[in-house]
Amino acid sequence: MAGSSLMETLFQRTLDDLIKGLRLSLIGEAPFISKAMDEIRREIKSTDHHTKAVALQKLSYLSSLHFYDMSFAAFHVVELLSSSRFSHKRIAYHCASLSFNDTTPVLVLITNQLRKDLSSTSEYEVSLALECLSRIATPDLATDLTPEIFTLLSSSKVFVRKKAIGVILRVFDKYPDAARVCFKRLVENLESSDPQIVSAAVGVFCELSSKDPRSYLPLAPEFYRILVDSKNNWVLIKLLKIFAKLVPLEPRLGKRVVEPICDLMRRTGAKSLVFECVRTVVTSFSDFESAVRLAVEKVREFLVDDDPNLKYLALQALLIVAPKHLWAVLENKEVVIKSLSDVDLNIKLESLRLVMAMVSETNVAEISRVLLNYALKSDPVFCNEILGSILSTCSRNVYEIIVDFDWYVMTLGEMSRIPHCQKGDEIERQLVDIGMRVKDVRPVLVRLGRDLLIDPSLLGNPFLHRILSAAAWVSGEYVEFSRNPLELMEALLQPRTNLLPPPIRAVYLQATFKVIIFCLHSYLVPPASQLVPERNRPEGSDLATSNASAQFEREEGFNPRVLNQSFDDISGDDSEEIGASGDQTTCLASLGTNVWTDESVMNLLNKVEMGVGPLSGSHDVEILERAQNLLCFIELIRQDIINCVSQKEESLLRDETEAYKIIKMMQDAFSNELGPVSVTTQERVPVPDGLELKENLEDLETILPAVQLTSSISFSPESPIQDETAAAPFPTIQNKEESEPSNESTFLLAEHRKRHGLYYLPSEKKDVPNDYPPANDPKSQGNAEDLVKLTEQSLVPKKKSNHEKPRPMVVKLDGDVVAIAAKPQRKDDSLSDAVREVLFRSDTKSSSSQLKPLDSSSSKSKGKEKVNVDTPESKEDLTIDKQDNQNQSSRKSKHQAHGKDRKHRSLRNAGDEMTENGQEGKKKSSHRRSRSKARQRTDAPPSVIPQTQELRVFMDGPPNLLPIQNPPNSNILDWVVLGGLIEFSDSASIVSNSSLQAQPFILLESPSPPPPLLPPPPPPPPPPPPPAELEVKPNILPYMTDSELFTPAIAAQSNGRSPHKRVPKVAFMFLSRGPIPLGPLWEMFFKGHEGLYTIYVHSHPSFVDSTPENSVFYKRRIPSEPVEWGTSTMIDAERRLLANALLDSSNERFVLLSESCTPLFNFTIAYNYLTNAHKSFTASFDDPRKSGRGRYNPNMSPTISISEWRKGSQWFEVSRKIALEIVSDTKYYPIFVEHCNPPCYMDEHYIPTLINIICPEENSNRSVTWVDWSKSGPHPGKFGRNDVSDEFLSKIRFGSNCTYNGNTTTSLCFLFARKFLPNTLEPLLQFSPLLLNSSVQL
Amino acid sequence: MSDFATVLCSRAENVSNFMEAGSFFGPDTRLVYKHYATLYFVFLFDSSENELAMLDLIQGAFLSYSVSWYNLLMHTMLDEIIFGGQVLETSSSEVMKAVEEISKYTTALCVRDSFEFYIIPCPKICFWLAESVANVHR
Repeated sequence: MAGSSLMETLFQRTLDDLIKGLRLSLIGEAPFISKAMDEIRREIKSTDHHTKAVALQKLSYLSSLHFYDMSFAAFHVVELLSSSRFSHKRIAYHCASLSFNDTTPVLVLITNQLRKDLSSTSEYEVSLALECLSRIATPDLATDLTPEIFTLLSSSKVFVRKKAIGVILRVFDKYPDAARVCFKRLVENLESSDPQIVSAAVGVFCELSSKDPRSYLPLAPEFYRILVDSKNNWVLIKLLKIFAKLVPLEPRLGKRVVEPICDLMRRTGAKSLVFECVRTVVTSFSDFESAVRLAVEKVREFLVDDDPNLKYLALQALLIVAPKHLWAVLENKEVVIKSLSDVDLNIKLESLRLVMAMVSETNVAEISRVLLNYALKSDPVFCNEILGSILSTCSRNVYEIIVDFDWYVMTLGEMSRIPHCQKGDEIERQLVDIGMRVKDVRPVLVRLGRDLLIDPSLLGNPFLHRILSAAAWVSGEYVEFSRNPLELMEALLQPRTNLLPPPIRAVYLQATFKVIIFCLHSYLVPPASQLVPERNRPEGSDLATSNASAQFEREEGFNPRVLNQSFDDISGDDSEEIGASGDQTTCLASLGTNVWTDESVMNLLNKVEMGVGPLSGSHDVEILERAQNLLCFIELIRQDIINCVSQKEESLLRDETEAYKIIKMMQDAFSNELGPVSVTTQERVPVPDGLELKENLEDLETILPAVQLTSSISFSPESPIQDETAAAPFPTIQNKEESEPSNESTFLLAEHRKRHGLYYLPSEKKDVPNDYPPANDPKSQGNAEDLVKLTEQSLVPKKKSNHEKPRPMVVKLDGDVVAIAAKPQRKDDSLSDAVREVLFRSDTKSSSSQLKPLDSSSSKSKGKEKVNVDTPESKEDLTIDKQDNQNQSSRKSKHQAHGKDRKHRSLRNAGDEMTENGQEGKKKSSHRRSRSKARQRTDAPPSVIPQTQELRVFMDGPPNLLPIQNPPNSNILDWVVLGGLIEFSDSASIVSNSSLQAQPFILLESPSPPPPLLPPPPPPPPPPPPPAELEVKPNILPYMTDSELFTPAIAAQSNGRSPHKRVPKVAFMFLSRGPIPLGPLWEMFFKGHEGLYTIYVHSHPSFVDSTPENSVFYKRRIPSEPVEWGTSTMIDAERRLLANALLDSSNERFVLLSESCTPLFNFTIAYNYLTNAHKSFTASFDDPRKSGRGRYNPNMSPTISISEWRKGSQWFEVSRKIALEIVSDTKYYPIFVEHCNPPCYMDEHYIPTLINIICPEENSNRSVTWVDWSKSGPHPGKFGRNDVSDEFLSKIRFGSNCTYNGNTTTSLCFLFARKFLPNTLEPLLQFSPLLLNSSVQL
Repeated sequence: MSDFATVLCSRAENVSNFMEAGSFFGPDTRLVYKHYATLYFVFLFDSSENELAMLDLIQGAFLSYSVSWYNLLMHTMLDEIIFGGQVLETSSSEVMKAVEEISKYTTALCVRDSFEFYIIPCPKICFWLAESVANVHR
């Protein structure tokens, strides 16, 4: 065995050998392969891994290229997977990827191996496992390996991490619950600083959102950020695809995103990106006129490009834009038309589609003519494409765009004569359909049918047989319009009809039958007895007269005007044709000048007998039966007819012959209108009395409750003759024919019908709904001119006269209008649920209704509805509020149920706050809190859900900490909350509120416009506030995330630079645990300076506030999270404060203060000091000691080098620019979070280092907050009531020297001081005249 | 398959690199190909990819390596670029880096991957490289 193994190893054919041998293939390919397969089967069993590996490799080759089944090797693959050699493993994984599927039995065996490899230290092994998993993961594998993938999602190796991200797609697909675990991390990867990671993550989200975009709406802000920041075209393309999916769901998103996309479109040089932008705009931004214009410009550039690829894509884009912006196509129509003759079939097809998109009822004739000319010149494939599109466009929606049916019918005829035409089926269908629907066109139809039938050359073309079938049917059915039934008869019976396939011959026979009945009838019923107005008698042709009379007789109640018209048509054509065609003349001559001579009738019968006789032995049942019918009929009446002929003079007797009765009966039967049948006909059949349809079927229903009762018998309203006709909109000829298996049965049927009229629906002939605008549609000439160029291209002269004809009535039935398929209900599949759950932290299982408001647009519309039905009753609001308070957990559904109070949502929030503060603020439980979080989270609009880094609740805080809605313009939105009672003092506020409701937590500076997705550009700056109008409270932004305080804050910056000079404000940001003990002092500090400051307080979420209304701190709390000293939560809180403060675009300076801070000077000094400063005041110094550089972690390199490392006091004061930098930083923050842990204190390093890296020149490297570090220890010195003295304060206030604005040395270095214990309030207040004395000068 | 090959090969040289592939591979399938000497590079993808970008991928990622095809670890490279049906890596330097790294592990064994016809079996993107049309016809 060992020997043979060695031999195998030595002499094994490698893959190369295999391929070479295959190429030489001396013994032929198939034998060679089967030989190789035998080898493989043997080698694969080898115990030697190498031999096995090579065998598997060869097998995988043969499997890929020659489709050999390799499932037999599954177990060997599993064996090889465990090989320790990478190359073996690789082959094994490759084979597994190729051959394993959900049903592979050995799949369970690889779970552990996969797990092992996923945890391998070699990134390449991990990668192999991931690659394999991405293709073969089953629900079980996905479930079992989710923990490993979760770990890999945050791997430090980019190579592995990106693949872990990639595999997520398959895992989520197979095991949706994995989203509950992994989704968070996946989102985090979007923020990665590594472009590869971001690219991979965006790719995954692109795929995910293509399945269920709604779930990913909350991530829109994140996508937006990447869209704006990313430089990678690949990523941008994916993002555009995501937005193309998201925007239709959330219109506000469109407003926000459209600009960046347009920018991209203008800026980028990459054609692929430009095209993606164009496609995104035309698919999802079609309401943004300017964007569409821009896109169309780009499309034009592409169109004239030499690259056929660009041209092709541009045409595709135009096709997308066409339905909404036809102008875009019209503007480019020359190129489009030219493209019809492009060498590339793709381009030709696209331009054809575009041309068809341009078709309207005014230009359909011209365009069709142009296209038919193209079709004549084109190759067969394209020719038929052209014909197909003309046919489908013209027949769309029951020939909606066709006005001139005569023209259209002739066009159909023209088409059938185009050599390459293969659209016989469709033309046939339409000819028959038009015949049934449009009465006015029947004469032309019959003429066309005759032209087709008498042309023997057409019989040779099998593609035209179907058309001939239609022609035959039309000629038979509407024979009364025929100029010359005898000619028709000849055509139908001509010998070459034996070329036709049997079903069509059957149609011919039936048509013959009809023609014969018609002829005999007009022979037996003398024209004189018919009421034909004399003046309408055409000169010369009595036949036509009889036709017309027949028609008249047949269609009682038919509008005489129409009758005359068609009558005239016929006669005119007749005389023309007579002159033109020799055949015709002979035919007429055989008829004689009188209507029907006896000879001609006998002649006719003989001819039919001769023609049909041979068919009575046909092998085809249909033909056989029909031929027999015909022959029997002739046999039946022949004697009578002969008698008739012999008793020529006693014409009175004619009426009494048997033949006469039969023929009359048959004529009656045939002359019943056939019409299109609506698919809904069945429902309209009244159930006759005494007919119990359900009785016997009840049992059936219980057995098969799901099966709907459908009767195969349909009573069609339009073709009462044919009760066997299936209830299809377009009864085919076969149907019709089958329904008349014999004249006997037809006869009986007619009899039956007469007797039991009840069972048949009355013909709708008289009440066919005239859905079409009355004739005389004014045709706009402008449109026709648009097409001048188009027609020029094809050198076809324009012919407008056609359009002057009124559109004839088209029978249209309900069923013809294909119901627009109901929008498929979005399936709340498990992945979506999981994603939602992660994103919103809502319990999807407990209440599915909770999910609904996630969709902010729907909740918005819901809200609107509710406003409509609402009768505002504040009392009810109150009660509901109370209910809410009592039952927080079911709150969501209550809101749904009690929609009435939704419109007051923002108010209610405030009301909640009040009531909870007052009544049960202390009863909060964590459970309740989380509920509340979920609720708020779900209520919040997607714009403000940038939860990514840590899926913390977006709007957090227990109920009493709900963010406070404080309308900035109290005169517009004026509401008062008093002890839980909400009152509107202004009815207009209802409206305002309803518009606010989708975004209850973001206050708009101007309440009137509906909230855009992101906060709108700041309103024009308020005029310098007179002291009276003090309460201009700034926006309070809900808590964004720690990692990325989102764009609103940034946007406020970028948009806020309005040309108007605004009065700068200073943002005082208090980072406190609970109350602000020195509050009264601060009250004095701020008093009288309203409009020049804004206050933001970040206190512990659980802190119960009892700030009185008249306090400057009243409602100045921002949504918060617990803060732990020395952790990143501190920075998070600071960034949160900054983000909120940035929302007020008037804020120019930002001071961070603690609860123990006291002011050292009065407001004016502090204000001037800060607003006039050129630089920020943040301590940032390089400390070489252990407590400085010692805290630097080398892992921060290369993003942060040790020379950039800084330390400094946490209590910063920054300009707006730096504040923005801090809020928008996504690069350094994660590094700090990861690598700066105690003894590295983030609050001491992050901002100093950040400022040092980003804009050191903007910082004065000192703090304006005094703190005593004279005592050693981790915490600075604290001061109690006894420390406060005049001297002490003076020392702090003036005891140091520093520079201000570059060169001015000043002793005024500190504006605030820290670590004053609560008990210092009293002495400080005593010294307040000193502290807040305004005499001190800068 | 052979119908597809016929259509593919019947396309002229100077026409667009797209083909309407819905009839061969199901709806929402787009196809980009590149004809290069005797080779056809074919990418099948769906609406999640950009047509021009895929073309770039062929051109950029494959053709620009004038490395001998047969010595190249062809599917290693493809594996690096396309992962689980998504284009994962678009930077050619990253791809080459990974390919070289992986080949270090395998060269010792002298197993060469010389698939001239390679199918990535995944639902989202398929790639074919067909040497000479005869192969496809089979």
